[in-house]
Amino acid sequence: MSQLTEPKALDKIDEHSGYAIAGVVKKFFTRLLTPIVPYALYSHLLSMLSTGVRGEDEVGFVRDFLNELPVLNRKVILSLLSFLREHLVSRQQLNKMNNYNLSVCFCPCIFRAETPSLEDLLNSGKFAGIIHVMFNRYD
Amino acid sequence: MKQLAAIPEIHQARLVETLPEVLKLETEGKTFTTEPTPTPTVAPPVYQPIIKKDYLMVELINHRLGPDGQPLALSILFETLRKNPKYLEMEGIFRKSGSIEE
Repeated sequence: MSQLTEPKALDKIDEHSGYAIAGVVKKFFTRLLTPIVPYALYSHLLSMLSTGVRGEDEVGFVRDFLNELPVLNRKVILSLLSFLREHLVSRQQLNKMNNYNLSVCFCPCIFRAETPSLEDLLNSGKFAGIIHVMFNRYD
Repeated sequence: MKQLAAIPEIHQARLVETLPEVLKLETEGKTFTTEPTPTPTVAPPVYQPIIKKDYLMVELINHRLGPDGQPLALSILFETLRKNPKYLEMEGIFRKSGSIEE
């Protein structure tokens, strides 16, 4: 075990595949005991999305959602989106990961039900839409 | 690439439970979750193959628990990706990552 607690162990991280590192980023979010979007807020969003949100209303809806988040959670989400937009979307010609693809990939990392149901599955596209709006409209 | 060391399974599980604490470090030391921090313990070695991804995670968290107390978090992963443009240019990065088992 001594080699695991060796402070220099992290220096080896670059030897690993980029896909593996990307996987750890996603796993970081999905393994959080308390999701980045608290369960109560998730349930509220689900009920709102089920009633339908259209056009410019989407921007206001997403703004309200961000304001409802605890400050620290909001900072983490926005720093994630900022990183993805600056470093991944800017290379989409090479990595084929545009705003939409990344929104779909990170949807399960950001939005998680306490008790998953069919309704969650049916609305997964709408949750990805929230992330997509943040990608497109957040400055 | 060096041969990866096997990680005792029981130790992996305990370390993965500390992930919220990693995020706590990222957020300026303020409390992000009310979950108590599990006390790391040294388990007897059980050698078995593991996927590289889990090795990475264990290594990250172990590093945080190391004697120097250096904080780690998403920023370390972001920095690693940032300084390796070839990773950022990989086709399907973040989409294909779930199937890496080497």
